[in-house]
Amino acid sequence: MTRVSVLACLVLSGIACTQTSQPLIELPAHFPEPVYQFKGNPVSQAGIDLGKLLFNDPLLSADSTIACASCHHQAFAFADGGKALSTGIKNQKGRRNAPGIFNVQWHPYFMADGGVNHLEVMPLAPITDTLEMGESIRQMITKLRRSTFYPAFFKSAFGTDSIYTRNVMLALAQYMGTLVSAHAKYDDVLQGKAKFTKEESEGKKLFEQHCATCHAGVLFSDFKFRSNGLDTSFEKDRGRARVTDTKADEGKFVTPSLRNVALTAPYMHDGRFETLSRVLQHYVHEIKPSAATDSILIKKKINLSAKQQQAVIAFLHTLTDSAFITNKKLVP
Amino acid sequence: MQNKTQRAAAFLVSVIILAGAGCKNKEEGPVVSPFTAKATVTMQHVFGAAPLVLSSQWYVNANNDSLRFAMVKYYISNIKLLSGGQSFAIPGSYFLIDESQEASKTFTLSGLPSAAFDGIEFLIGVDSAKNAGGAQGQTGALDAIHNMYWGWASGYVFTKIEGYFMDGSESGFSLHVGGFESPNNAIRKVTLSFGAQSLQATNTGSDTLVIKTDWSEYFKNPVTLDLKQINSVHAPSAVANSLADNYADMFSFGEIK
Ligand code: HEC
Ligand code: HEC
Repeated sequence: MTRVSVLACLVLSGIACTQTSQPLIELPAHFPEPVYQFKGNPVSQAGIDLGKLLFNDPLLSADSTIACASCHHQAFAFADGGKALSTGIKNQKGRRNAPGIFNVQWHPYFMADGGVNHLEVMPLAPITDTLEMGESIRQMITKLRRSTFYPAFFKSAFGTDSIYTRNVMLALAQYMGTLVSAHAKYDDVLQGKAKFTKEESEGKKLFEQHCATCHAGVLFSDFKFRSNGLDTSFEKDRGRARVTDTKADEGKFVTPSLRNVALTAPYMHDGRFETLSRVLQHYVHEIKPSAATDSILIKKKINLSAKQQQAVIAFLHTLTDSAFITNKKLVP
Repeated sequence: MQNKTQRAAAFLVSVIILAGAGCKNKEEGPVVSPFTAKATVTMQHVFGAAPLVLSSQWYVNANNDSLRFAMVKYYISNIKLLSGGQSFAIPGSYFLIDESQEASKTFTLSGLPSAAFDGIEFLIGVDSAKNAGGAQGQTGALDAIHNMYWGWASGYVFTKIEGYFMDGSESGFSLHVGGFESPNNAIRKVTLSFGAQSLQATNTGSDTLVIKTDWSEYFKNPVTLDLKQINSVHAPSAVANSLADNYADMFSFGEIK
């Protein structure tokens, strides 16, 4: 049995594991063990469908205008299509740049400051954020209970048509778990199914030398809190310290994954850089030293010629997963 | 009346006999107690010598600020009843007390061995396992529907007080304390002895433990809170932590009725 189907059996606990059907949630063979393994939240097609419905439903916002999907679009690997800051209810600008959503079950925490500690509670943040969906959980539950069709969806997903916060969260976790991105050219090369061009190869080598300490492994993140030298003062966004109120965390943000990075412009927690070449320019010429700035970037300057920067960008483009952004099963 | 040693012995026997009978509800479900006795708890809110009344009543705190309350809400959890040095942990004991909901101030402890207890221990707030455990435990008092949960910094708000104080004119305060991770762990443990009295758990839960909660303690010892300086706390922080230190001693044993 492959690892993929083993997980399928795990997550389908209770359901007989004899047939060799497509797993509901893919576990790519070249990925590490996920952090979140749906323990106590057995995945079902009905649960995923319900989660998908909720993700796309503006009902979850205070004035029923903004859905999760309003800021997380499949075409941009579930990032917010070119916007530095997203727009929430009443046309309000948010605080940070919306990242793509994929491979979330491998994340130990969420948000640029790691403030959300578990996939199952992730939706509580945007729903209650006054700048995003601005809804109280009580009101959201009331609206869902009043709906003519949601009770039936909850019934088939969880065996009961009583709607509680818990099951709303579990369904959203199941749906987000299906957003696995593991079929970029990079993955094909890793599995011997494709070859890098000369430029991409060169870019990969440079990336491994200069970037992979932080953007590490097949997930392209070490999930540590670091500063990549963007700023020297952090009043505008304290980063990790917003959550921990600890001096050593001022100005540090979790290393983001770079999968699908060519689709998720603009870049950094506030979307300050519009292009990847602008990002490379930052790493090569503009690292600002501060107490927060990672020593890796101070000790060893990233010295890349224009051509080498181009090669790194070519490599980053091999992380684009076209199958993921066109998979019709992931959207309603 | 039983003495302490007899009480402890009787308690131990009943616990040992039923040990092993403690069963779990399915694999990951909540632990269900094999015991069936009950006791009642009532939280009595005061400010110094006066009863706590929301909205209309003005009080003076240790910093000499005049203030009135619009909201007083808090969690107590992980309740243990004590008996002659032994303790009995009450499974799934999470209670949200809300001054504006009279009914929330009286609650039943169930699943108790029928013993006489001489003290109580509990957490102000919610244990870290529930704060870090995702949505599966978010039922009952722990449902995010009660608006006692921080979405952006996952975890429960342990105590929430809001109201107004005089700063020339009326000015608002909103103090939400939570945080379960070092260095800003605001969970506080309270232990109260019932002195010469004891709380008898019975099948009707007729004994009522009255716990007095003095909100004037929130504003002093060890730090005298100056509302003009600190009137808005909405995150786990050093300040939230010091407020938790202040209110950790606001609970005291009232009586057993
Ligand atoms: C108004 C725009 C907006 C809406 C609506 C929105 N999000 Fe987001 N989302 C964001 C932003 C901005 C961030 C990054 C926030 C941060 O880093 O502090 C984010 C981050 C995330 C992340 C974290 C990804 C990571 O790698 O850490 C997940 C998961 C997510 N959102 C899921 C959802 C879900 C589920 C909903 C609906 C319940 C939702 N979002 C609604 C804008 C939005
Ligand atoms: C010391 C660790 C570290 C190193 C080395 C590093 N990065 Fe980063 N990178 C980060 C962190 C942390 C962020 C998030 C910063 C923020 O949002 O404030 C980031 C953000 C990015 C982003 C923006 C992603 C997004 O979705 O917004 C890109 C692109 C990027 N890095 C590429 C690179 C490249 C290319 C290299 C090598 C030339 C590199 N990084 C080296 C830590 C590092």
